[in-house]
Amino acid sequence: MRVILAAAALIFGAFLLSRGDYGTAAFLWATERQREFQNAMAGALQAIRAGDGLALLSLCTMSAGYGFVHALGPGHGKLLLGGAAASGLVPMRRMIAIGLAASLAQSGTAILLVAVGVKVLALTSQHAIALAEGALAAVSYVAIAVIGLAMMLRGFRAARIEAHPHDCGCGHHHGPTADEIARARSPAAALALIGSIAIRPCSGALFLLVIAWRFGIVWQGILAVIAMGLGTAAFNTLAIGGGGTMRRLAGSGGRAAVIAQIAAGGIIALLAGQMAWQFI
Amino acid sequence: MRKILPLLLLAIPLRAEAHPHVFVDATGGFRFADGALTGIRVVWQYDAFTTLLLYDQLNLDRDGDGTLDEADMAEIVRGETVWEPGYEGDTYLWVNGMKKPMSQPRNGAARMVGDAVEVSFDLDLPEPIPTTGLTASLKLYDPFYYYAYDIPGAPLMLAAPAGCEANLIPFVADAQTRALQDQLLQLSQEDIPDDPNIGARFADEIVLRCE
Repeated sequence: MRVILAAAALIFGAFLLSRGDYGTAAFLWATERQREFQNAMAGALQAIRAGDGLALLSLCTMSAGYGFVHALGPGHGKLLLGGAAASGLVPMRRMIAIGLAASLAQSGTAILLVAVGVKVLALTSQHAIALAEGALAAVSYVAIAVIGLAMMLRGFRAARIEAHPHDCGCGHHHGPTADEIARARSPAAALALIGSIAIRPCSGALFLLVIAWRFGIVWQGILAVIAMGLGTAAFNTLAIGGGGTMRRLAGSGGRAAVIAQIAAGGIIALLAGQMAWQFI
Repeated sequence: MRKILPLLLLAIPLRAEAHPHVFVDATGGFRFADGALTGIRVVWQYDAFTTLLLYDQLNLDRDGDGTLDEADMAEIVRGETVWEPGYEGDTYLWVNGMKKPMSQPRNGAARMVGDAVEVSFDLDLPEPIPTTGLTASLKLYDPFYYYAYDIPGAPLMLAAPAGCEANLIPFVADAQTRALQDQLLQLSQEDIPDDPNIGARFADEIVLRCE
């Protein structure tokens, strides 16, 4: 029963964020806040250029706020991270660290794209933004969908093992238990989660860096983009917490873990697959 | 900024879910001559952050003094009002239920309002339309919702004949208003039963009615 409730909550949560009047209202609210933050960032950038060193503090604060509210939009990992937390794929504390690493790595990608792509390879900033919103977004969605599928497969594999628990009493260990399968502790799983999110930089971070370079305040821009990543990470921590709560509601034990993993993997694969499909 | 659009069009097919990065406070309105509707007037005011991005994208403020001069304004007008083929300027006009093709922008102008760039221009109808019994609907939106247009002020009515009235119907995210909006949409856009664009979902609408 609790498993069904949690699965329903997970589905509800995913759809609430993207559909319906409440989802729309939340999205519009966040969009309005984003507009305020980005106007404030513009003011701080102008002030820094004019020689006001303290404005760096305000730029970083506003960038962090921007990162937080902007993460409500698609493409910042909330679905994958929340889903992974709900699936119990990775222990909670580790999941939060992964979320932080993913957002900071996403900032890193933006810095790399502007520093190398625009400044070394002489791409225009328009090209860099189109690359981020186009090819890199597509690769990110495909990678996230693949992770979702892998989670599902892992869940099905665990379900098979649970159905045939090797209870032969012959005294030796016959390979992993369902619970062991359901929990991926390998660095590969963490890297896949981080990489699939980080590959696609946020356009907002690119805008900020392009302006900072233009104004000759490069390191301030880089610091602000890192602050933006921290803001995004804070939002994603909420998604991870939400996912983890659903996981706990579903109860512990092999069967709950297996169902949570299949459900979360399926939803991630479906939604990310839908997004990826639109690029084809 | 407009130069980014063809690139985006190549890069992103229609996206079911998108998020805006550029905010535009827009004003729209109708232009009349000799009692007929001749076209529309559009004003875009970009957010301050996007204004700074224009420094890079249009190579403004080359002398680096932080303020934009006449030459910069001319460059903004050029960058914003010379449109790629197929780009409709995120400006969509329906007259008596029919979507109207519009001309390229004319009378382009740019100025700074505080720390925001403002661009304005006119679009003409192929031929003037008599206003008797006319209804029209003007929507400003980006189908990709990369640009978020908001119409905060009253519609412009330039040389409007008596008996014509324009009303702004702002987008509000509640079901009741949306049902009302749907009714209004049906009045003016019968030929589009289901608008698939997410941008249209969030778009304010300017409705013109003439006796």
